[in-house]
Amino acid sequence: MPRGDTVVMPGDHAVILAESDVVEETITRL
Amino acid sequence: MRILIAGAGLVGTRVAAKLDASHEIVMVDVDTDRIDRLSYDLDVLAVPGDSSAIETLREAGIEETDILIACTDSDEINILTCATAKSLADVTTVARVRDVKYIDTWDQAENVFGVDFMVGTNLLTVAAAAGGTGLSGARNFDVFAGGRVQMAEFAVAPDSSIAGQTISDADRFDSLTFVAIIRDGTTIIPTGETRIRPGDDVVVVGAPDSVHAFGTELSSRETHPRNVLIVGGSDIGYQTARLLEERGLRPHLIEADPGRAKELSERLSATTIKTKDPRDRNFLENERMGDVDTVVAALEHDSEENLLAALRAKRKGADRAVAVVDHGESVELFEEAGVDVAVNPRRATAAEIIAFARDQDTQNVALLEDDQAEVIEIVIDTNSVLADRPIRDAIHDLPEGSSSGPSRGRVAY
Repeated sequence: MPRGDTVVMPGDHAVILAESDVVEETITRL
Repeated sequence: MRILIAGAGLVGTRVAAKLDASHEIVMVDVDTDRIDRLSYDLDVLAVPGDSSAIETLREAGIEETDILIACTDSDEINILTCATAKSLADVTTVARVRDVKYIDTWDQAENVFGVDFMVGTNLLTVAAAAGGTGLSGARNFDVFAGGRVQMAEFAVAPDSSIAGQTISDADRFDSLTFVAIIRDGTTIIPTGETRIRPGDDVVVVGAPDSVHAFGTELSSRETHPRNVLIVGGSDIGYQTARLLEERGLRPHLIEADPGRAKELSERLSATTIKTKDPRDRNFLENERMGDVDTVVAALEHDSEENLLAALRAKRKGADRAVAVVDHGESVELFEEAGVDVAVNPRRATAAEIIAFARDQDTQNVALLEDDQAEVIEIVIDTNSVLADRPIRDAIHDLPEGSSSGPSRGRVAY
């Protein structure tokens, strides 16, 4: 599991929780 | 994207409601009243008609469609709709089916039926019902990253070790992150200062061992299942037994119909099958429920009896009760009544289809608390705001209302 200083690399799988009204925007930014 | 949804029942409506803000949605249904109502409630183009008919698909604009989702209540109509669509256009097709025989055929024969992606309602129900077996008290459960990451939702009892603590205080479990608190039906994304109250549900994401250890501490009980009782030999009951056998368990299954019980006993080598009527109020009396860890009530199209069987089992000492419920709107009611996990096949199906339709990089979706929030697994690409940056910096570029826990690992699955 990541910490604040973990650098996320292209190809990594991210598990994200988002409130329903921002899900689409979250996916777009990711 | 232009998405055509055939079937405006619970699954189709749920999928449309999730996607209509960002995609052009067309819905087709034979029920003209239902399709008329939908066009008022959602931002969709509604087309009445039989989705398996060429003229209906043409009227709905199949030639301009990117994804066709066939999710009527009929397996055969869904498959036929996909086949017809494939003959008319270069479109990605998704079919919802209940009967596992269609999935087996589709798995074994490449490109058969004109279906690109087949969603098995019963198999998804089984995964939701049996997935958390061994996690005492887990209300909601899902796996991500090929099983390397688990999500689980646990109720916080008044005597729980984390009741009254802040998230910072409770955050002492290795490889485990608190991603949400569900309080009085509202989903809260917590900060370190958020205090956990008795009666809350906490949603955690972490490594499987960590989630298991957390669940064990919360319940103060050993959570390795010893004895699982399946009530009802429906296809869901059978598939649940088969899944548990694959995990090395030896479940018990109760089925009223002697013929069906005999058939199941021939197909399930490690399951003890008993011919008893699960609707008999006394049947659990003789099942030594004190020895049973988990009960899965899977009677077909009998939500009320599933609820009663699950509650009776809990009263008799079962640690975890799972019930299949036919109506999605009853899920919360069942859980408020004392069922640990109520599984609605249509909700499970809708979540799977949403994950497929949304984005090719979206791997999995779990819906929380009547769709208030979603846990999403997504593959990070070079254009992502998270890419090549520390999380503490990148998190500010995500919308308010999201919390992340990337799971490192570039191994595809």
